[in-house]
Amino acid sequence: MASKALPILFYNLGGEMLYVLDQRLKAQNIAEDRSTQVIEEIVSTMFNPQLFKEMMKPQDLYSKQAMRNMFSKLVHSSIMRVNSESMEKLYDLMVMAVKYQVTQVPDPYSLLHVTLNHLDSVLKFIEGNSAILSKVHYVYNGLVKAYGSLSTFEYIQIRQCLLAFLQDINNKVSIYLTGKVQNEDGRFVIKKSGEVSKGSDVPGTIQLFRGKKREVVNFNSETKFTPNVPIFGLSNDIGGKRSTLLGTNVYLNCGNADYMIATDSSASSSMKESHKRAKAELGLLAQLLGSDKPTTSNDFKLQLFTNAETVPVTPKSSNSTPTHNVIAIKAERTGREELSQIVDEMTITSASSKTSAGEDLLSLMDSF
Amino acid sequence: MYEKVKTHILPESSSSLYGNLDVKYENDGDTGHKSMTLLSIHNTNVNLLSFQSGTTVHALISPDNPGSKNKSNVVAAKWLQLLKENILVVLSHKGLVIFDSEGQLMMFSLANSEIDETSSCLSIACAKSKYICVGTSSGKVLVICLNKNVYTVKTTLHDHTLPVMCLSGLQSSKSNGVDMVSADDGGTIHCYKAGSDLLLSGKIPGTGVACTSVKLVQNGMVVAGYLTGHIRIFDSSSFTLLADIAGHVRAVSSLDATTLEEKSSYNVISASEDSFLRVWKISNQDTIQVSHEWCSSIRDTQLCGVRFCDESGQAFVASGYDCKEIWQFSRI
Repeated sequence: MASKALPILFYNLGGEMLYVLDQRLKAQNIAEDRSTQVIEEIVSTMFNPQLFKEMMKPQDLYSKQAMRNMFSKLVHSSIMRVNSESMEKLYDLMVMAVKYQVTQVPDPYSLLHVTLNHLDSVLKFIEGNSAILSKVHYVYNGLVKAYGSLSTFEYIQIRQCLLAFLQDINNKVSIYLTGKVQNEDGRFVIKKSGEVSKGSDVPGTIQLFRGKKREVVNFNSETKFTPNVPIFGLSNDIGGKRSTLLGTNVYLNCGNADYMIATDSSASSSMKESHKRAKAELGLLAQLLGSDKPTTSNDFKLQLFTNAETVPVTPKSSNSTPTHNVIAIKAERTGREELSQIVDEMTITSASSKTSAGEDLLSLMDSF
Repeated sequence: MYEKVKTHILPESSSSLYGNLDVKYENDGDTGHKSMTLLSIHNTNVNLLSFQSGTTVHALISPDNPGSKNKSNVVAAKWLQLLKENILVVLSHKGLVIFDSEGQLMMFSLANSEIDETSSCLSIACAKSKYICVGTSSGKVLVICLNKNVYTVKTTLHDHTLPVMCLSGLQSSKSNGVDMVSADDGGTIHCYKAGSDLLLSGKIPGTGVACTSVKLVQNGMVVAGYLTGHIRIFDSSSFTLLADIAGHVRAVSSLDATTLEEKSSYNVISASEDSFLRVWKISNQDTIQVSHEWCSSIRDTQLCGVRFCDESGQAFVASGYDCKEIWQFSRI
């Protein structure tokens, strides 16, 4: 059965990718004109109207490998070069962000507002470029038109489809661990307090209807929820009021602070899926993403992450589960020698340096 | 009242589907031999886990042909007691397949495209050990019967206008009682009586909120769980609301019920994406009584299935999204 989940998955993953790239480009003091060019080029490819039309055809989701390849291709539609290891980590971070959003949405129809939150941020990234702005507006309006009036059932199906895609991926992400929204097993925390979602009531009451009489019995729900405070003026308009903050840029307030990403065996095992299958699935969409830019003297490499330094995030994970490595990324120089070394590794090298793993991946994509 | 006694491990994690767990319990009267088999869906597969004389056996069932490259996700799988035979019905994005209870022998299949262009199978129940009812995304409910050893679509019920999210049937109801209920995306519940056919006996209007699980109880009460976490109890003979419970804060993904010793009372268990399992005691002899008996939270787990292990209600099992674990609880 055809599904409408692909555009939701693609634009949310893409939004998360831009958040990370934006934060990394700033943290590494990349010249503003180059940073702008990278972001604009990626947004321009991602919001290509032809690509959008292709996305909107009802279809099954791609395999995890095909999706990964697609985003690698998307990154390399810009002048930036990212090695395959960084690309892996970038993708894992994007996937976990989207998994967080899909598992936590207050109700299935809020998936649209999560997506629109991403698009609002994308519009801010490219504020000065009217040609690209109009592309994003086109996709924005297309998504609102297609998803604005779907039934609950259709949203439930989209969510279940996304959750199936995101199943068995439980990488730990420091921003979520420190924010206490992810537990040490990689699962997202389910809260037992706070405001209930729209339409839900605080658990703890039973209303009994006996003829014309109504009786209320209370029980201890072992939770501490509070009633929903309605948000008035919810809107699907650009910059409108949303039902959720999920999908907004969580890296905005990170500044240059370091953050970590953990990888586990499930991520690497998914890499073992055959490239052949990915090739078949990518098909026209990969073609629409266009051929990668030829390497020019203007190109630069960005090593987003490095696993040169492995830091256990919690004593438990380092002792009991050796496969759960946590990699620390430091964006600023500190007095610690090993961290300085990482910073050195993350700085941009000139485009004339040797072929990187990223270029190997590029040629792989080109061979499609 | 209940405590966690065992954790069974499935070969693959459970998918996020409402009612994603079933139990087959067999009790051989002659030998006193008991066996239990658990079922949970993982994307394109149905995982079976059976326990026989101390050994655990895994099996994977796929509704697709062996070697099929384009496997389709399973949306529901359930054992149904049909006359004297126990069958396994599996619904996928492609259509419906009926297997023997072990999942080894395919006995019937129906592609979604054979129903019509817009329908896909969503939910299953059996009424009066005779009618296999299949709810679809177009609102149709197919009624499949075994006639001279051949499965055939006997009738199609056209009463729902919205996707039929869940169904529940009874093997035998009280005299002139309702045998099957179907609930849709707008929360509307339809009640059917089984005679020579399934006949609509009445409608319980919905509030617009999707009904995500439903359970028809022996005495004619309908327990319904909703996307918003509410649980409502209706009388299927008068189609009236008896109780409205603010029970959960996320979708009620699964419900099950068992008769208590005092016969007129029932234990209902609800599982939700809010991580909570809750047991409710309900009775409706002279007047409706509902009490919250017990609850437990499976840490950071969006629960997707719950089933009593047998009719005694002494034990139940629960499953959760992204988890290979099936947690078994026993009465203490």
